Amino acid sequence: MSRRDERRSTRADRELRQRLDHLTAVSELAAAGPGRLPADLADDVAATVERAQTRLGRGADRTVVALAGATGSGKSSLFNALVGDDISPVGVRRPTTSTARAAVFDADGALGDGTADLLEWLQVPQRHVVPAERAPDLHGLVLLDLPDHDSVEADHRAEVDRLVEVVDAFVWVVDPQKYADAALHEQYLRRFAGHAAVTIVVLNQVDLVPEHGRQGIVDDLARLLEADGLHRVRVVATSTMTGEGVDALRRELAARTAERRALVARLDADVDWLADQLAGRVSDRAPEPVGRGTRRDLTRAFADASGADAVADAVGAAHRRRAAQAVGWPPTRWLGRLRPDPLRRLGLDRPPPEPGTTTVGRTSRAAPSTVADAALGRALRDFVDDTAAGLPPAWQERVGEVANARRGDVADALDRQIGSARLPTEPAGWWRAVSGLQWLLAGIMAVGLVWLVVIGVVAWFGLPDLPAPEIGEVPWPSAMAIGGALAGLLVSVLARAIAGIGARRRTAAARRMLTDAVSSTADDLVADPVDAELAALAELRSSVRELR
Amino acid sequence: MERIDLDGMLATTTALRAQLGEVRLPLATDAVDDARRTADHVRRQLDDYVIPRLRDIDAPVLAVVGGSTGAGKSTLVNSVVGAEVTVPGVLRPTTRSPVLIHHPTAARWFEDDRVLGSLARARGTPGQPVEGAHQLQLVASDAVPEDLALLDAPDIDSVLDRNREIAQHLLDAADLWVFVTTAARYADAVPWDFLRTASRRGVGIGLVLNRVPPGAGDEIAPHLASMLADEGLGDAPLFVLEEQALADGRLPTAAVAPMRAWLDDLAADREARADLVRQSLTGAVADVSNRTEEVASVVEQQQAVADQLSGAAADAFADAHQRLADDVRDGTVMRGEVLARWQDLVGTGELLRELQSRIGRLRDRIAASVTGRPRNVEKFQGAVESGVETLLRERVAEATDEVVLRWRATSAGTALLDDAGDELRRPSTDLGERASRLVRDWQGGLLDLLREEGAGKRTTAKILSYGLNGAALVLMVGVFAQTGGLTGAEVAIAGGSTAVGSTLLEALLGDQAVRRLTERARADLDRRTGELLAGEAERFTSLVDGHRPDTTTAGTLRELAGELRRALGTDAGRRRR
Ligand SMILES: Nc1nc2c(ncn2[C@@H]2O[C@H](COP(=O)(O)OP(=O)(O)OP(=O)(O)O)[C@@H](O)[C@H]2O)c(=O)[nH]1
Ligand SMILES: Nc1nc2c(ncn2[C@@H]2O[C@H](COP(=O)(O)OP(=O)(O)O)[C@@H](O)[C@H]2O)c(=O)[nH]1
Ligand SMILES: [Mg+2]
Ligand SMILES: [Mg+2]
Repeated sequence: MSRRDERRSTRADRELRQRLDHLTAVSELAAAGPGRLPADLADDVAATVERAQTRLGRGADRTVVALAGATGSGKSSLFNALVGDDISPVGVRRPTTSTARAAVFDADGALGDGTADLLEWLQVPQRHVVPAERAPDLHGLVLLDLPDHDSVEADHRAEVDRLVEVVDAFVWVVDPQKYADAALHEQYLRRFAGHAAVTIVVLNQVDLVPEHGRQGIVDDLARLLEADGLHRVRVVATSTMTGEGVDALRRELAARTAERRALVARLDADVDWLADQLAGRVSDRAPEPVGRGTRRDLTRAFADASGADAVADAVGAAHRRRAAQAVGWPPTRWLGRLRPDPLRRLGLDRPPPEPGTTTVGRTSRAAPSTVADAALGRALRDFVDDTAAGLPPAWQERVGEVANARRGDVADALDRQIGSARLPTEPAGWWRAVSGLQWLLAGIMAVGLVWLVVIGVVAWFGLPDLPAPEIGEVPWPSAMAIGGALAGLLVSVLARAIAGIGARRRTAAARRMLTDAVSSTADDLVADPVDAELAALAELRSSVRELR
Repeated sequence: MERIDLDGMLATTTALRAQLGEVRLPLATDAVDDARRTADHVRRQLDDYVIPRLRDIDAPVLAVVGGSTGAGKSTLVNSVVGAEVTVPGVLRPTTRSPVLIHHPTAARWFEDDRVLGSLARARGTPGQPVEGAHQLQLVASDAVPEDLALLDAPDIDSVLDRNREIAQHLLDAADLWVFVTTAARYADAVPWDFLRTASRRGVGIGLVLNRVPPGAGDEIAPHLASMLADEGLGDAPLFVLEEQALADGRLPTAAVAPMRAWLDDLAADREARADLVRQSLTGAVADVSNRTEEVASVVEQQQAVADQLSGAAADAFADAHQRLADDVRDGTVMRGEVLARWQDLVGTGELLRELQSRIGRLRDRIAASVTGRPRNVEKFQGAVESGVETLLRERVAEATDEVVLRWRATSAGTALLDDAGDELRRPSTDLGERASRLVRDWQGGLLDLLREEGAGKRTTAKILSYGLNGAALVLMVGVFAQTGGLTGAEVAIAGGSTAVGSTLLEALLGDQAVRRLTERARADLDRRTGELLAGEAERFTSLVDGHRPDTTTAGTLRELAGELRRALGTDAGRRRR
């Protein structure tokens, strides 16, 4: 290997390792989230990563080349010709070769540990070491003679299918009878169209074609290869009978072995193939994180469904009711007690637990109604529609799964959040003063009334009139009784109006508080997991794009 | 030959051909591609071979020379005929248009579209075959017997799909296959697929093992013979030809003499010819009958799949309907928002005013219009409306998901969904609107129910004319609140406050009437939701109905296939006797 070749090859090597890292990332992301990629593609990715790592770890200085092709095309004959010895049985019965056989070309004339490992991994037990002096130019080559892929023996085909996945380079051996067979072009060459860099096609048995016809066949074969998508593939015409072309093939193999590029090029082609498959599975646009608006909509819908609004309204109503009792006109206060406390009705009149305590009992609000549950379902649907819009269908489905993964917990969690909210239920400060004033006014009224009663009783018994001082025209007792009553009513009207303002403010505060609480549930159970999924999908996508 | 009822069979096959023309396999079930191919295949076999053969049982024997590309079929035909009637070549594949060589006096049998009617004709002269792909070239030559025509077919295994198709087509139309393989090919998988078909069909067969390396014949020929025996073709004559230098592109006359003699003997022996034709014909008819059964079973399978698909849709929506009915019956609709609104309505005394006094109601309305706040009555009605709407929409969405899931599990369902596009995967777009209209209509309908019930009874009518609205509200709650889903406290609250209303109603109408009214109101709601859900299910079922194979097809096919089998069976029985 020349210095320049070496530099180029280390660069290619480094690039391949980077691509494999990205592929590993893809594989891990796919494994972590079933549905992110179709299962068979994910398996392919994992298998390719595994295969590439293993291959790079075993005899990376060897180049494994397979002689593959139809039965009777002359693979074994070529194998023998290249080895220079009749190792592989050649026969007229079809098919002859039924298991793969390896020839190891090594300058030391020995099977090193690395190579043994490699062959172990390739599962090729039949191996021959070619003495150094016989083929010094092919040092580093591991040549495989494969069975056929087109005979009635299905096992042969299976062995070929296994080995074409793991070798570094292909020599497809065809002959004048079979070079246009569908079995070869449709099943193999088209599938390995991306592997042109590690493909050589040999047209063997040219001795059977009259001299003038040969070039025509070679051209026709080249045309078919182009049509398969294999561009600029080297085609060598050979005959093991006359020996023509065999040296050209040997030189070609020697050059490729010396370059040591085949291994990396093959793996690169594998990654290219996967990159193509993967490209169709990821979105064109990068998945975006869950938008704030979308989160807000979800919170809104959850709040609706969980009855947070009703609770907020109850907070206001309760305030109004309690205010009425605290600052209402004392003689009619008892009336308000006839109506139920709206918060008690919801089981929310208990003081909320101290922050830090973890056990929060369910509110005695009823278990979520079917309607609320249906509303949650709808909220989640809308959320998924929003966040997954524009993603490929499989990803939309995946987002839907993640969003609904904790569907069963949502209703409970929301209820707990509402139960543990520190709702603004404490009495207002001014109530006490106004209440005092009310009692004072009621007292005045009572004194006036009693006074009037006493005056009346005295008059009835004909006792001397009690002095009844007057302010202006109105006597004191009447002024106290009527004035006290009127003032009390007035104060209570005013106080109620003020309490109404307070109630509205508390309703708003409660609503804000509950919205915050609901939003943290929505985030924890739905939006954040979905966000994480979208991030993973975005990473998957960018890893896939890095492959190209 | 005369033992087969030719006319009867002709009538049956003609009917079968017509029926096969009607076969539609609209669903993309797993087996559909194969079945469509099979149906095509049978149609072609009937058109190109069975029907013409039944019409003219005495027409010349058609021997088709078929096999792999490069096996030397064209070379062999030229050698047998002794003239360049078809062009061999080194490029694979060479032959694209079949070449039919017949005796000049037998031209009438082949010139019209009697046999192989689906191929266009062209006429060439020996030595100057016409060019042009994929048409049947006719060459007259007195080197072939009058009662036998040779056909050089395109290959069965090259990259040209069309060649494979035509080859199959020609082999289907043959009375005799001359199957050519080579030393390199004889164990290939593809030709053996064809040979197995031939064996099954019972067509006459002769094998040529060509291009055998000198000296290898002793090893290969027995191997091939044993393979043939394994496939039940042990009786077929086998001609072994060594790889040898060609003279003028042809094999030496001596090399092809045995084969030539075989063909000549066959042509000369009237009896043998008739046997051959009958064997091939009965084989073809049996094959047609079997494949017709295959097609019929796929048609039936499609009907079953169609039933299964629309069943899945019907089930999912029937389930949704049932769940909705349960939701309504067990009172869960009343919970939460609806209950809160009901309590407001009752707690503020608004309900009693609705029920009893015009003036009270009037005052509430005026207050509402002054403050701009909706009355509790409207809030309650709104809550019921949105509750039922939400339920309805969610149940439809769930049912839709369910159908999509179940359809996706089948390939036919997947194809239908993919064709229908995104829309079908969601509930129809105006569902929300229709759902809330449904609830409003139902609420409106309650008034009519009450009016009907009150009609005739003078006092009740009078009172109801005051409190129709309120009565409708009480009725609504009665529909939803039948204990079940309510907790004890809730029952007390809802029940207690309804009690006021319902006692009033009962007092007005009698408790039986109230129970009847509640039932009717619930049934009305049930009917309306049922209709809506049926509409949604219909989107799926109508799609399936558009892709349902005709129901009578399968039966007719089976009947005709059975008739053919019976016709053959009697013949076979007589022959045995
Ligand atoms: N030497 C030798 N060549 C043969 C023999 N038979 C066929 N060939 C050659 O093999 C090649 C293919 O022969 P064709 O007769 O065109 O083969 P085919 O079966 O008609 O092939 P398609 O038309 O492609 O299906 C030609 O170049 C023939 O000259 C033979 O017995 N000996
Ligand atoms: N004429 C000729 N025959 C060959 C040539 N190469 C191989 N053969 C013969 O073709 C047959 C099959 O060869 P083999 O190497 O076993 O083919 P494999 O099945 O591809 O391994 C044997 O009979 C060989 O002698 C060649 O270049 N020219
Ligand atoms: Mg071999
Ligand atoms: Mg030909």
